[in-house]
Amino acid sequence: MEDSTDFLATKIPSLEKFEDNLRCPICRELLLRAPKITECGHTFCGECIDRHLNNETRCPLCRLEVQRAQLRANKSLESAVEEWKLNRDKLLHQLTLEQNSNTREHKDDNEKHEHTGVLNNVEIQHNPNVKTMSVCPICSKTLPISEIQGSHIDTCLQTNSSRSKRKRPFFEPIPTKKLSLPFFATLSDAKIRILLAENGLISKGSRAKLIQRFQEYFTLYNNNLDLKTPEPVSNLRKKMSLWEKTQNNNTNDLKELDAKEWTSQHQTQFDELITSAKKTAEKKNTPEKNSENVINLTQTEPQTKLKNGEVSESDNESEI
Amino acid sequence: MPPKRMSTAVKRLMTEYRQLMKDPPEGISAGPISEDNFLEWECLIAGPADTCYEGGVFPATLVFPADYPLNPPKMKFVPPIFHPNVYPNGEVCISILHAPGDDPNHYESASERWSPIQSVEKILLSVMSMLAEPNDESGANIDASKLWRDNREAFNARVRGDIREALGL
Ligand SMILES: [Zn+2]
Ligand SMILES: [Zn+2]
Ligand SMILES: [Zn+2]
Repeated sequence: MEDSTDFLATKIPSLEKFEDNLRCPICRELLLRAPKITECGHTFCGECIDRHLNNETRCPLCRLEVQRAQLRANKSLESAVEEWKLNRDKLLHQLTLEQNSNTREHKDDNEKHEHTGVLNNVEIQHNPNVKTMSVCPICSKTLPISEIQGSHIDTCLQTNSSRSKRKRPFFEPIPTKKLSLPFFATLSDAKIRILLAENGLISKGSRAKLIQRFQEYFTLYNNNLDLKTPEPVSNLRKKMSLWEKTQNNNTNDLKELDAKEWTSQHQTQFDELITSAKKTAEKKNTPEKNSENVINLTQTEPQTKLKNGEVSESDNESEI
Repeated sequence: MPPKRMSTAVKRLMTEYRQLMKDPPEGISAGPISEDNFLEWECLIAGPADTCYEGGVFPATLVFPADYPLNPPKMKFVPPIFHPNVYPNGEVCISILHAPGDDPNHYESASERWSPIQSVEKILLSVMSMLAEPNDESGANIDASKLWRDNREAFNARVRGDIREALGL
């Protein structure tokens, strides 16, 4: 989990504002997925603005009229965001260190530890007893050459044959032609069902659901082709089945998250709001009016606030 | 690491929640009710100073649609509060909570209504200012609207009575 407020606790807090401009105002993710610019000059993920335009043909930011046909790829920004993404963690880490070194005095110790670490590595590499290493062509693991040429390659071939098919579908063709959005008003339910079936999609449900389903697929499909490395159609189908799930019920799969921690976070704030409110109200009850009634109700305990980056580090890979 | 399959709505709400915890606006607290469903939140709003709602804390629920933030959540005070822009069942009626095509009062300009760039924080701040300044053009609660317009003293007294009762004083 990351967002632009990560920079608030660093040496250059204004990078929060900077990064906000590299994020989609709709989903708040970095603009890495074929961002599109509107006529009014605002940029969103291709998918996000497409979905929004099904709802309302105005820019979410400035409310000017926006036509889907007038959207253009914002390639310069996309490249800039790619570079930013590559360096973000390093920069955040460095700026946090520098910020901390202003307040703490342990910086020198840390540096010493880092240095000895580097030295140790170098020594290991130069140790003549260390076996010559190489990269296995199948699983890309770095192993001693003797091992790769020995038993490893056979076991690796066996265990990876099924997995690599799933992971890297070389032979699945990437589509090149975009879908066109039909004028639904002129299509019968049956025609829309056929259209869905032709694209390998579920063709059940109300007319409204059929149309929504095709619109969502259209959004995923066409924006996928604008990505630098488009995904195979089977991945889009997987995304569609997630979409079906979110349509059917409001339960979302949060089992993997430490959601208990998430939900308990605000309980302390709640308790404090109530306590201060009681105090205020009691004071109000007393005859003489007290000018100190205004209490900052959100004076939360430090432990209720999240420390930088502490929450769900494992969620970095939350892309669908 | 297997990528987690989360909807845009859930990811966006997690980001918003994270930011609200980091930097909570004064007088507001909000978060998901249970770990199983990020689309239902509870929140507490402190009555703004120098209004008859001062000293009260008002619990409410926010229920988000599966396509959030394309469409706004519904907000409901539980229990209902006495206010011109809050329906007797507790549901809040302010323009930021109205989707583009839906304007029950036909007075709102598009610029005040929901847009996907709005957020939980902006909703709750709007509700705070709604408490401070009721909008008498939108009468969600007719009795409250009348009393607010015709007899402000009685309106204030009624609200203060409700607050003391709720806090068990
Ligand atoms: Zn987006
Ligand atoms: Zn715009
Ligand atoms: Zn060019």
